[in-house]
Amino acid sequence: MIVGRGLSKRYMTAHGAGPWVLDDVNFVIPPRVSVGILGANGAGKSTLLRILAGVDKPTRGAVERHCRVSWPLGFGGGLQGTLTGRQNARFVCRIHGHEDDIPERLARIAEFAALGDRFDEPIRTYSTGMAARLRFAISLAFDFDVYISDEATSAGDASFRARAAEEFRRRANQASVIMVSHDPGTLKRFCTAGMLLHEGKLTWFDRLGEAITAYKETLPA
Amino acid sequence: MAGSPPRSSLAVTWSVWRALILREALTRLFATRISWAWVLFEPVFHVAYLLVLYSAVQVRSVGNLDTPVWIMVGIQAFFLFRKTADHVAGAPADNSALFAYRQVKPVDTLVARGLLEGASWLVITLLLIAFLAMWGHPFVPQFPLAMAGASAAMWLLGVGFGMVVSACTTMMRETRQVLQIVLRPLYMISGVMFPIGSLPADWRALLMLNPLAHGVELVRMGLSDNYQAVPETDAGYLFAWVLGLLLLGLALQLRLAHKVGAR
Repeated sequence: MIVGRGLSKRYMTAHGAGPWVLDDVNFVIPPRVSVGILGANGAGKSTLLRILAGVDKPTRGAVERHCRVSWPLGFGGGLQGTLTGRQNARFVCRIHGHEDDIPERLARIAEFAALGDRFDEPIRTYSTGMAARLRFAISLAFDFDVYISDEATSAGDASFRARAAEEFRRRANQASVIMVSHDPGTLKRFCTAGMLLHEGKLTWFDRLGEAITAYKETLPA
Repeated sequence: MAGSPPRSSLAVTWSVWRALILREALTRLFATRISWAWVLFEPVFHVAYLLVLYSAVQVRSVGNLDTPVWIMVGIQAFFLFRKTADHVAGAPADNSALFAYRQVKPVDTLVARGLLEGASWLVITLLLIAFLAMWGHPFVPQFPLAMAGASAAMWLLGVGFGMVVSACTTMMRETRQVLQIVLRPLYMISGVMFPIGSLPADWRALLMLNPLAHGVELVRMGLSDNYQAVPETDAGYLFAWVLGLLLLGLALQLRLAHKVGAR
């Protein structure tokens, strides 16, 4: 379960405090419910994801995480170009406190990322798709209760996307996703509930379909 | 795994420090095929070069100490501060990609860099001692513990200063460049290359406002009780600076934590 209480966020700009991106947002995401976040460009979807994942601080309010939450998948960061895929994966294992079973986890990551020998090459030699596959595979090596995803499932080629979707479905009993995507089809495949961000306010919908309908109404005709 | 209880904050911090240190050591030592040689021998050559050059110019002994030993100890004490401060100040910017993981906070990268810098300084110093011994200038400190204490103070001064600078950089991006210009002359006025003790008293009083000059002299005082140090040398003054900078640095990091991490 993830609870957001009175979340507000604004960024400092060169001209002082900017407008409120999130304005007193409250929600309760129950366990094992996958949620799609909808909203126009700049509505604060990625900001909300970053706050949920704990890598950004809300200006006001707080998030309570009563479960294991992943880092935001799909963001560019988190890998160092001069190190190999294996070394990067090992680093992530270490900061998550899995010092003892690193070999098993590395084997899982290598298998899912399916990079072959390139796993031992520096990341800077990877293509964008390969790096995205590695990031996704690393995140799957930790049994998070909630995966935070910003367009992460759109990474890689068609066969990798299909495997990623399959892996998420297989875990549907233990894990859920909170995701942002501009493709309603992707959201429908993974999520049951929806959250709509519009002008800093958030509305919760138990059914994703209703959220998509409401989202379309907010768009200029 | 899914059912295990959450780790304590201390356990998280510990594993993050460990991971950061191993990662950074790996990056530095094996970035290219000869990086490891570069990391060790670049500073050793740099200091050895200065040693030979200045020993030829200077008199045979400074304040009853063998000149090359006097210079080596001074340079290394100064570099311990400068390199630690430099690397610590740049740590959050260089590691910003890692703040995608909420376990990694900017202050963790500062601590990891500081520890790593201290460790590499130790290795380089040992290599220099070996170099001196081969050259016929034995390094036999009479008070090794006092030396270690003074060196630790220089190291902590570097960590504290680096913390303050990295926090200031988030408010004013140019801080580091400006400081580099301002701090370069410190090398000349910290008593590394010439003895401050040979100057008139009013000049000494001015130069000894600089805590680094105290650190450099304190490390040398560990070599022998025959050493005629600058009379104004005061361990308390150095420690007060160390404590002040560390507290200020930590307070600034705490206050500006979310900004230090932001790109």
